Amino acid sequence: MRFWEIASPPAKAVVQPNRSVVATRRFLKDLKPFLGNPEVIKTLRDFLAFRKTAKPTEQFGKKDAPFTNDKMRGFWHLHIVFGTIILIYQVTPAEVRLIAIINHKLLDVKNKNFPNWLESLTTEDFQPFDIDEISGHEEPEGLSQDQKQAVRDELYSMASNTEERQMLDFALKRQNITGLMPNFRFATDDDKLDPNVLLAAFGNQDSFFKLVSDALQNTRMREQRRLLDRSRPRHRLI
Amino acid sequence: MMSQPIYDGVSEATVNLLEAKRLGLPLTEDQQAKQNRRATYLSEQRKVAADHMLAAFTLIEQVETAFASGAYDDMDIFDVPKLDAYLDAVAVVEASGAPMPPHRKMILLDIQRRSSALLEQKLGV
Repeated sequence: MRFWEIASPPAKAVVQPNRSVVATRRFLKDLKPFLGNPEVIKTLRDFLAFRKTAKPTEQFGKKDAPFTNDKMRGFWHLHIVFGTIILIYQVTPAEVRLIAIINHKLLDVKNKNFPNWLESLTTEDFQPFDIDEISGHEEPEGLSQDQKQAVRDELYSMASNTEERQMLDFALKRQNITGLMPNFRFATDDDKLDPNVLLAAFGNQDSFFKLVSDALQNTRMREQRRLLDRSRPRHRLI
Repeated sequence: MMSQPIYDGVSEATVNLLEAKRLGLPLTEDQQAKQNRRATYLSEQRKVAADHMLAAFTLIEQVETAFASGAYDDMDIFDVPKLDAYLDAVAVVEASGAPMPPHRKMILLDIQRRSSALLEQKLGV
């Protein structure tokens, strides 16, 4: 297995309708102590991006699971930090409902009424939630025209190289560009180039992978023709 | 020409470079210098990725050996050391497409069962 195969997570599931994100007042209060913790905010942002479109039964990594007890059925918990910071939430066809963040180490008997509180929640207890608004996150700058050109050039450079061509093929099959990022970071001269920024610069994931596919196709034709030419007999034997 | 690749929307400089390579022509000094910088950068990045993966495998092995020895059997699952990093490492390895060995599935199920039970207990379920 090569490094870029290891570096590329598998393709995500087919995109479903975008869920809106809502939160309880308790969740907003629970989140406050973590607003200055970039790791927690990053995990929460990645989680929400995933949950907005993922199948309800799909797990966000290995620290995300549904409760199994009957009283908690339909609710999920995500260990933002395993065993310490735990998000309790619910997914419906239209919403991701953020219910509470608990610090397991600080839980005490006061939480004995938690299941009753959960049961008492109605849609009116939730309000719209925007992680970027809460955390003061600013959208990173997009790519310049020169950088976009450099990415396009890099795609064709890769497609013209035997080993790197396999990397493009692999990324295309998995619909994931993680393993290609070193190439694009070099091409754009931006060591911190974010994959989402790159995809957004080309419209979206589909339009970017159309470019990948075109680069492969436009260079593959040459190889196929060459092979075809070689296999064709030049002279008839009789 | 039918036998040539189609460089759709590619800059002239890159077309020149790719054609020179394709036809086996010598590269200019600038082209060669950029090719060298590119190769060095990618090689460094690949090493970083490989080191990262090696560290993940090492951690996984340590934690799984301890689980197999029964060292964590009587421990509060939330107090098991390095479990947060272990679960992240397992997710990275699984995402690479590597098959998950049966013993790891068992450990993950054990962790999930014990952590859910502990959390539910703390929540008064």
